[in-house]
Amino acid sequence: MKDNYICNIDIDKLKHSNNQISLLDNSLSYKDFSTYFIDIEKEINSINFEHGNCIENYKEDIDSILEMITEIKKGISKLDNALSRTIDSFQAKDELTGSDIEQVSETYPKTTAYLKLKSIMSNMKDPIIKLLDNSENVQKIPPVETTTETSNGMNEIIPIGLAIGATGVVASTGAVYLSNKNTNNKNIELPDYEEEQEVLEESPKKEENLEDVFSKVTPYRAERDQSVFDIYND
Amino acid sequence: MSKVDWITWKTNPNELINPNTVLIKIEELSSDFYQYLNHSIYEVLEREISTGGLNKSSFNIVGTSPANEIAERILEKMNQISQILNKLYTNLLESCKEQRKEEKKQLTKSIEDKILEEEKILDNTLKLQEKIRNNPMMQQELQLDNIIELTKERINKLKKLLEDANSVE
Repeated sequence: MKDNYICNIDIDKLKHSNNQISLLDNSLSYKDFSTYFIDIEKEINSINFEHGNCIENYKEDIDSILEMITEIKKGISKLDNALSRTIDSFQAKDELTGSDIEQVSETYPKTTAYLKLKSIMSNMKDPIIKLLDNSENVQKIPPVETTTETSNGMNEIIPIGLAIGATGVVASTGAVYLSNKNTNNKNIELPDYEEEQEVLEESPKKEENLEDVFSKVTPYRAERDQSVFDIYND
Repeated sequence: MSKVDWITWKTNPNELINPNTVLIKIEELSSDFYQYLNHSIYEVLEREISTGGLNKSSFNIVGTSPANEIAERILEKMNQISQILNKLYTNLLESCKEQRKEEKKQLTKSIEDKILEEEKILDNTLKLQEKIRNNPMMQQELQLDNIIELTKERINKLKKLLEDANSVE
């Protein structure tokens, strides 16, 4: 059974967040936090401790803090860039390619989304993504299995719905689907893909209709393993 | 004789290290940092994560939200900074208390030693005065009276200082 993977973007909200993060990034570039802690270190040094564990640990503590401050600044800068690229990629586009979505996810390296999508895309051959227009009712798109015969027997469709909120327009929910063009084989087995399912979020069962599927879109569970993903070390 | 030269070491209980004073100074230095960190970065990120574009429902791919993930990581780093600073304060407080105990010990010891020295000086001076009184040829008595009085005065001051030092917590 193939899972339904849903993508959602609220461009308006994303733009607003991007503005906020950009302002933050700009102000941080002029702010030197290290002076606070250099002064703290000087103050502790001036006390000339002879006793207690402070003299052993405080330098390490201050070094850790300075390192984290650098990571925070770097993280905010990366987030700013990633949001900008996301908005540019999805805004005013009727048709998206698999590489578009891949490129967007690559701006968030080592996140769960990046790894999941990479896993999916690596198992698909020449995927295409089409943005359905407003006239199409996404709820009519059934969940599809790899072994399901399609109308033309040419494509196996793995639906990924992409809902885009357009600025100034009543929010239209379009959907994109990711399809694997394999003209030679109706029954596509993706053994590698099947094995990867353990890292993927649980999806609705086949017998559920799409309305139930979309109703389960939020809240999303982003599972991440801190020890595995270190987004600050590219 | 005390290992500590009491003339150069702290001779006044008020000069002993005060943990509260130390912490106040450190807190003053870090309050500006906290203010900026919390108001500028933390609140902005929290707000955007809660209701803005960094919310999981605002942008996600294949069931996970990469922007949300990165933002949460940043908040986590900031929380870690707070934890480390709290730990630093705790260590600083404990070290100040430890340092204060040791300084008090050294101060009281040095004062006691000095009292002993002065008492020895007083004792020798009194013995010499007795000798002079028994020997009409020696005319140093008046000067010794001054020395004896000054020595007694010093001893009394030192005893008062010792009393103050012992009362320090």
